[in-house]
Amino acid sequence: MIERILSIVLVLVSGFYGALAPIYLKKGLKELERSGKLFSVKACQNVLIGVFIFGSGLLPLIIALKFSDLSLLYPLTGLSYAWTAIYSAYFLKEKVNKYTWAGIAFTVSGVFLIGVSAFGL
Amino acid sequence: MSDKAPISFWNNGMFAVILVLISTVLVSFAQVTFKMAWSDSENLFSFINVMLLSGFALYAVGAFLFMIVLRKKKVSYLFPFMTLSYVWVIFLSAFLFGETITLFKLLGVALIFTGVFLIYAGGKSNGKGAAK
Repeated sequence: MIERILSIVLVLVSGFYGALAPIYLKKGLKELERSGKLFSVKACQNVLIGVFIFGSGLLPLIIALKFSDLSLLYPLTGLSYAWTAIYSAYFLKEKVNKYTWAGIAFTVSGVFLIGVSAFGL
Repeated sequence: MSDKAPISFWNNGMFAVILVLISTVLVSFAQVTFKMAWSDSENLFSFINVMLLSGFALYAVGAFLFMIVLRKKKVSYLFPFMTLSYVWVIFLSAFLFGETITLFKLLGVALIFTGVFLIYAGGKSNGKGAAK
């Protein structure tokens, strides 16, 4: 049981942190587009940071998989999708319309239901 | 880039959606190979095996496809599409590991499909020109 709780915490941390990855990726890609060049050091830095967060954010998830079922843990990472939407509105100043917020609520609830199903439901 | 760019291969909404779909399939296969990598291993050293490496490779290709689309679309529009990989994982886990597909899982799948459709439908006007 403790292993199960620990693995759930690991997945939540992975999501909260990993949700930053697409923000940095987009930041870098945006700078690249704006520069009009094929390569830009500044853009490359942000893309690399994004890739690093993506990769390192996976580690807690992989470790957690040792202790629990894929069906229990993987769905819990769904919360990171809510974090990403909040981050993109806050850090990237994206205008997030009501359909997107509703859609995110639906997808995160869907992921949550799938997570709950691991408790025998 | 400017908003005045003509409709092309790259900013066609459907093409982006297809690329993202392929990306979600690859990512779900990656998750399954990670699980296989753990089951095949006794300790951390044997964990670094072919399955793990193929998992990372699948993840990398999936992420690369995602980035191609991300150039033209908003993060908030595009990223929720990745929840579709949960749907594929449910079916893959049932097929490969014999995990049962419960009513809750099916309800979750329905919610994810609804959510992704809402974002897609609502983003037809709003998702474009996201490179700004």
